[in-house]
Amino acid sequence: MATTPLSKAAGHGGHHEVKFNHLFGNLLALMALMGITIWASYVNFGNSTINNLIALLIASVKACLVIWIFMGVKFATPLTRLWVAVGFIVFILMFGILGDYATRRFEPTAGWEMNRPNDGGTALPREWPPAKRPEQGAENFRPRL
Amino acid sequence: MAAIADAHGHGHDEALHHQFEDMDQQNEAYLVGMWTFLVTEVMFFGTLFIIYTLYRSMYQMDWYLAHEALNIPMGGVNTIILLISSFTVAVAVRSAQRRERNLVLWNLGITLVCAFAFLGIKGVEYMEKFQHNLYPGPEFGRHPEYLHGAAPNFAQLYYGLYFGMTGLHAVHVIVGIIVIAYLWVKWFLNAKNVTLDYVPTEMVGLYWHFVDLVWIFLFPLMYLMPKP
Repeated sequence: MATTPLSKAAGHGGHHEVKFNHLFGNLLALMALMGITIWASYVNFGNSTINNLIALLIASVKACLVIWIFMGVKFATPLTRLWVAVGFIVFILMFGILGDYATRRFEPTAGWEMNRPNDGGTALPREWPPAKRPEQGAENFRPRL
Repeated sequence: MAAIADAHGHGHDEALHHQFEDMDQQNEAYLVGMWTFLVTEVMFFGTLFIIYTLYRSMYQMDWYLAHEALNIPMGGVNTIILLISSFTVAVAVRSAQRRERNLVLWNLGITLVCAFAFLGIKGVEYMEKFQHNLYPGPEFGRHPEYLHGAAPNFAQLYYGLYFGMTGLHAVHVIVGIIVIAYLWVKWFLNAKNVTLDYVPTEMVGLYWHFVDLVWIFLFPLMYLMPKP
């Protein structure tokens, strides 16, 4: 059989055999990272954003380990790798949808927010009734604070 | 089939289907197809993660308070169970490449046990939430002590996503159990299309790793929120 880029990438015999120790080491690494995630969630870094970033960073590293070793992308052909990469890149780009919320001048008033037993929990400052009376026919909307 | 492959002058692999040039091409076609499916699954869960991001950023404190009712040890044990099952599936794929039937059966069996254990623990958690009226609906928040001071409406939003995301994940675990059990029976019966070609086993493995992948993100996002 002639050596094509495909067969070269896949290794002779059509597949690459992963070493058992390689898989077991990956499992241990994933377990250790899980432990670090739980530990880091209790540590006060001064700002919860740092906790969130650390948690997401560790989760991403774990995801990469699973994809790279367990799912065998490390041993896959360039086309397969491209497929995987494009998939996750588009997934990340999808979060751009949230830009919509950040750029809205008006947001719908949510009636169910009004009867809260205690306040001070929301991240965004909220005020009801709004200082300025909404225009006629626009009762369901209030200006962004 | 083998005769056709030979007539073309390519290899002697019984698992090679006639539309492919050689095993490498066939395996790549399988893999790219499977990853296409997995990417659609990533998008499927992705929308839920976007909803989660939006509402968690809006109601950080309420979500933090609501999440305190979750059982971190149970979530942690479930994470360990899924990681182990991911490992055993990877070993099963390796054994399938080496055509070690017994090892494949054992490792797929352990994976199935792990999957059931995961669902069992999840079931106990769900039961507890149902007893505490923490499922979204008219009965939500009937026992305010389990809301830990969160505003009921925002806590309800949190639990809506909690049940939605972990529930969708649990559905994937159930599908995984069905597929792995089917593969196990195939191996048990010495079916040629799995014993001669390791790729069907690898496809099932990829699906199971994806289930693990989703949980890797769900666990810190749902169970391990930092105090804002």
